[in-house]
Amino acid sequence: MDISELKYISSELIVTVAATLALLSGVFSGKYILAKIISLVGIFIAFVFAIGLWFEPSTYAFYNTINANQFSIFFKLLILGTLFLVILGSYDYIEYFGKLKTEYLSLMMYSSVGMMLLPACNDFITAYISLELISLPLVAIIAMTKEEFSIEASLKFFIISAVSSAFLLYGIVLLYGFSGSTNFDIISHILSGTSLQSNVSIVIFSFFFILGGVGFKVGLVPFHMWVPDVYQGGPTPIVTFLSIASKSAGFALLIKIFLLIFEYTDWTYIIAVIAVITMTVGNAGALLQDNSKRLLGYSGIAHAGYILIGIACFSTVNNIDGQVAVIFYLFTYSFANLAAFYSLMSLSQSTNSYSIQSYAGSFFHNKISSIVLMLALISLIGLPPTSGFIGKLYLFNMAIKSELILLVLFGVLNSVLSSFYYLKVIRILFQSNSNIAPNSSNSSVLLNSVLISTGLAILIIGIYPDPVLQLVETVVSS
Amino acid sequence: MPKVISTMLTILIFLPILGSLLIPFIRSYTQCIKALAIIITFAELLLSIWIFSSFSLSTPGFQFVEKYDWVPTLGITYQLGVDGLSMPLVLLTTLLFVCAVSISFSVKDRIAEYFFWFLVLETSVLGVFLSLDLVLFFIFWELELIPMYFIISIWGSGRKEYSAMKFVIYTLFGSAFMLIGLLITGFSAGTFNIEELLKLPVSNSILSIAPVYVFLLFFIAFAIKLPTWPFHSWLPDAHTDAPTAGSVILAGVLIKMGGYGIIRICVQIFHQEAKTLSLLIVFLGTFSLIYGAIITFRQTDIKKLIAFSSVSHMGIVLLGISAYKSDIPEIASFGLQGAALQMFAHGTITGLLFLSIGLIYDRLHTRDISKLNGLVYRSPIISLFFVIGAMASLGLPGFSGFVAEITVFMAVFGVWTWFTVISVFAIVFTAGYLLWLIQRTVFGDDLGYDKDLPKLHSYEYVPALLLVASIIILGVYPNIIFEIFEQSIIPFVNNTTGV
Repeated sequence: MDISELKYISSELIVTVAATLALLSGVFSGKYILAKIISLVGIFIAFVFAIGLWFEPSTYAFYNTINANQFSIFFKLLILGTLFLVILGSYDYIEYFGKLKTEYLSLMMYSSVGMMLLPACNDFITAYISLELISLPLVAIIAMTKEEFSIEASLKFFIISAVSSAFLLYGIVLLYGFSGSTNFDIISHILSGTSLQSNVSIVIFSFFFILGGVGFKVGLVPFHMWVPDVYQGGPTPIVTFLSIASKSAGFALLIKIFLLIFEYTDWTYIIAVIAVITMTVGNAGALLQDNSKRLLGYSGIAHAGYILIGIACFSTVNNIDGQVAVIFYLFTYSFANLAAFYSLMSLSQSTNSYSIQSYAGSFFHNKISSIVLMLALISLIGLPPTSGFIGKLYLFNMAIKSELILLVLFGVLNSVLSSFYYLKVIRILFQSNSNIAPNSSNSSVLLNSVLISTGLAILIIGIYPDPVLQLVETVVSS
Repeated sequence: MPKVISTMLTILIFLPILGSLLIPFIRSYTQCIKALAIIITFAELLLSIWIFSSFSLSTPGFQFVEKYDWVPTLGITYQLGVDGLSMPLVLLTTLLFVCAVSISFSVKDRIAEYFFWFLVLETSVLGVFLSLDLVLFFIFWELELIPMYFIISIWGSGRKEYSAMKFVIYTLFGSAFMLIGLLITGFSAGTFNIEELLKLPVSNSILSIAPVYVFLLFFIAFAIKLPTWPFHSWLPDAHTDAPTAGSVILAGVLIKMGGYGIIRICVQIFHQEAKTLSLLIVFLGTFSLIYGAIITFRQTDIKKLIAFSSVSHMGIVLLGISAYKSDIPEIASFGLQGAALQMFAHGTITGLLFLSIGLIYDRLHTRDISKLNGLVYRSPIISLFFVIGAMASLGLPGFSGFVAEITVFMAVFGVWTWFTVISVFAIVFTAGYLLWLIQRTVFGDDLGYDKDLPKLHSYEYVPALLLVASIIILGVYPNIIFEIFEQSIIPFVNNTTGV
């Protein structure tokens, strides 16, 4: 190993250093604002370094365990960007953390290091360690507000991520026993060389275990049970980050795993069935929710189902389109989800509740948050002119190309189903009668700027998606 | 062709939404908002008339075409164009929006948002009629839902939230199928562009699944919007609970999007399937015609009654479309023109009816037929408008509704004789329920329980007069509109029928 290979993980190193400095600054000066500036500057520098790596040719580093290409850098940028916006906008919320404000910052950054490594990993050991690095800090911050709900959520999250890690590990071990290696390239080589008949059950078994392990992280049915509870109980900024960055990283890993094994046998129908069940369960679960965060939890499950449609396209003619669909959908979903969670957070400051009914007439008190929330929900339904529409259009277009017409039918009908509960929230926001005190506090400039920028991103990508689509295409073909 | 700016249609589509963006800045000045809304809709009307005056009737094909690449990654273009089929519908849209905005001057609640959503709605409806790319068409089609959802659920009455949701879910359910249909078409034909699809033999073999299924996917979406039995049940609810201007737009132009879609996409692109499935179309048309007519007899709410009569009248559109099966080009084109004229006529007639019902409701605060008695003694002018609307609706000669119906029946008689015979009897029901309605509400005993109703404002009778004028002009001299339809329909029919 050459010391210069460290540059391929420079962003991760910078974020780690910044997180540690933020932690220390909290210990020695106790000023939250200092820690926040350190973290934001650190994230920004890491972002710049990641952009710098973008133009380098795709390489392997650290004995083939890290694959530095545009695919991984794209996810790095997505995760860093989300982290930046989450930290920037969470200023209002921070009071809930009491004395643990700086710890919140640094733990979130440690977790993001895992998320950034995951799309780059080229080895199951690295992948496993990254996943653990994601989960453990999150367990601590979910419990940080010390409310009953968050402690329960944290415990659930901890136990379930431990179980899912066990699943994943078991799958990895089976695959290792079969191929004698944990390296993606070697496994892929061996799998493509073997005939289908021999040892087929071991590979399918290990695939199911790995899918289960990653399925926990991204919230696929039947591994979704923790999602609504954790979303409801966890602090909003953390849940936002979890729902976007953790899901993106999880799907990045899922893409990589499928690229390994999709040639081995036809997974299309297995994935299609899981996709249909996941989106239907998510949407059906969301129909009757009154807690807005719980509703977004179920909606997150449904969206994981939609994204799986893209993965179901993998095993056919080409997998480039499927990957583009998945990544672009994740990208649009990230913006919409960030906007949705943060506008809910902003609205809930004046209502002191996450109950949907309590938002009645919010439009008259908090126009920016209400309009951004409306845009975000329209994007989550998948109606034009928002980015969510283009995401769904691309996804369904690719599935039609792969002749998965029935799967698309389920996907589209599920979008119709989802419009029930999203529109209900929108209607309540704009209701005439309101029970919010007129002098309720307004959200800060920082939060509003995050909201406005995400809202604009939803609209701009919805109206002129081509640059982003082309970017994603170059990412995938790298 | 007189000189017209090349981006005319883009301006026509996006002027309202640009105007709506000004509203947040003047939101506390209600008079300014109203002025802005009426100026913009009126400018739209003038613009569309200008476009119409430079429209060449002798040149077949789309005119004022604008074409740009929009999302090349997905092969989506931004293409607009107008032909003889869409031109009258564009005029209808701009005319009815002037009327709708004008009668909305009496709205008192949340004025800024109200006019904001109406302007957004105008953009989306014009976009549907003018886009020549399936994806663009779909985008405008879906864009219309959000404004209409707000208009019904905020400014409506009764079970407004339920009705608004029902409207959206029905349309979304239909567009789910349309999305699949258009993706299959776009993928197999290699283009989403309607102008190119019209030239391709889509009907034959280039689709990966049988084109009949793709036809049906589109047809479901449009049949829900039209609406035809058995997908009609959202319409009475949405109509009844929408505010007056909302009903005018809903009946006047939104449901015409369904008819336009059937002719433009189902018939013109999938013409072979339109002939094969003609029996389905004529059956649905006849059934809707009779079912809608019969069910009106049970209604006690005037708005609901008119809503069911819309279901019945849209059946005539389907009947006209079914005449396309004929091998004789004249009959086929006659049926399609009749269907298109029926859409235009129904737009103005039902617009007038809903407008006058709105005026009655504003003054008496009831729409219950049993409580409206002797209207003619209390407000002769509103009664006059209402009676003209009802007479035109039942197909009295001299009004545009008659011309449309007679054209459709003449065309379809040679193709589906027995269906026509049954349908013509339904016209008796139509006359029956409308005359009975007039007898119960407008005439009848003067119960004399209050004095004269408040006088009509100019913003109330001017739009009504505009609609009356268009109904009578088309009734007396329908050729002006047939000539426009012919520009689009005759070349199409000649290319696909007989020969």
